[in-house]
Amino acid sequence: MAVNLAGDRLPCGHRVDQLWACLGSGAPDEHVRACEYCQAALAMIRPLRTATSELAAQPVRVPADLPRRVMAVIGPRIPPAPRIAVPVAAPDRLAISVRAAAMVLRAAGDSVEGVRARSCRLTPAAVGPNASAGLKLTISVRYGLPALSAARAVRRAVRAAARAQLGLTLGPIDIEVVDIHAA
Amino acid sequence: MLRARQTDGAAAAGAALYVASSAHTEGPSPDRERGPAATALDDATLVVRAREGDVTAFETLVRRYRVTVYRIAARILTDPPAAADTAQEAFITAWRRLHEIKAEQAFAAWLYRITVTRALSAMRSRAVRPLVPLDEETTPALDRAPGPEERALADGLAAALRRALNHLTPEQRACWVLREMEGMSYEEVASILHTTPGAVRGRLHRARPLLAQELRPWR
Repeated sequence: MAVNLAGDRLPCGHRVDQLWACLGSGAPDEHVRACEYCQAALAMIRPLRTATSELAAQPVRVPADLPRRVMAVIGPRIPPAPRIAVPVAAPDRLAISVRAAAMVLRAAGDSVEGVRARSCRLTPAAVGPNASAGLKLTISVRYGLPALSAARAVRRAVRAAARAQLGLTLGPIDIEVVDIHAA
Repeated sequence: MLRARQTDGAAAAGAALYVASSAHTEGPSPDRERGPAATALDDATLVVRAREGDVTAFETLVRRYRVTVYRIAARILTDPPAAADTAQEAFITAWRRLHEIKAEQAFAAWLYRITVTRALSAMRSRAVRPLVPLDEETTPALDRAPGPEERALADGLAAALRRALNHLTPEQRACWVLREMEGMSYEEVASILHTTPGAVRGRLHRARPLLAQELRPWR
């Protein structure tokens, strides 16, 4: 017996998508087991369910060079970032891009147990003994870790990294806890 | 609910291709990248960093999602070179539009939406040509996959479904791939396709008799 799979309901009142779900869970109820319409519909859609599972399980070969291809296009499109002057003895000069410096400072934030540094906005005004602005840092803190002590440790680590790795003295460090993550 | 599901053994072994597959599950599947440092960071953190020009953070996201993005494109387009182009364009578009993400933790769904939109657009714009490579269409299942009889029958079934999917509209096909093959919920599929869960159910309902009809010989 063939039934109309395109209709809203089978003559018995069951919907085809209920039967489809039932094929997935493998648990037909009493009605489905006894109903000739449901059994006819199941016979019609069972090969489709098997075929879909088989096709979904087939491996897909992902080109290994996909990340390289993507990054090769993106790299040259990145606009240059502002530079910050690093104090060195004259006549030499040294400058560091705020983008590169931010990566060092985020890594310093990450080095604090239970902290993930997110946004790191460094401007020339946030550097030097007379810094007029703060370094703006957002962090996610592991659930259960006191935010206050985490922020204190981040401040210490970021300030030390700025001095040791970049030769920069930071002014105030403004930290915002924007997220809590699971352990 | 997003869940990490697969690793890339092939990559570790230095193989030329990453191989991945999916079975029926309840959610989309981000693909684990390599390295303990990279796995430690959540999507939201990487998105914020990438938005501020941290290319390494974005590359981690590319490695994390390359398998799912490519697989979705490949299943919609059934054309590996077109799928590779679509996956590449999807990531480049994502990079360009990172500032548009409102909820950084929803990066995966946002990326899949870009991928599906590009795949559908590639599908509509490409010239008429066979969607299934000729060898797959003409090679008898037994020659292609020697083994027990049931396995051969199942392989023949899968090939028949691959051909049958070409009879669907691009939107129906995308629904079938996302819901029935990627295992996403109706809500996730609807969000990716800019429609309602009811419309997704409707498309699947209309697709089912068409596909079942094509698989008649296996009843």
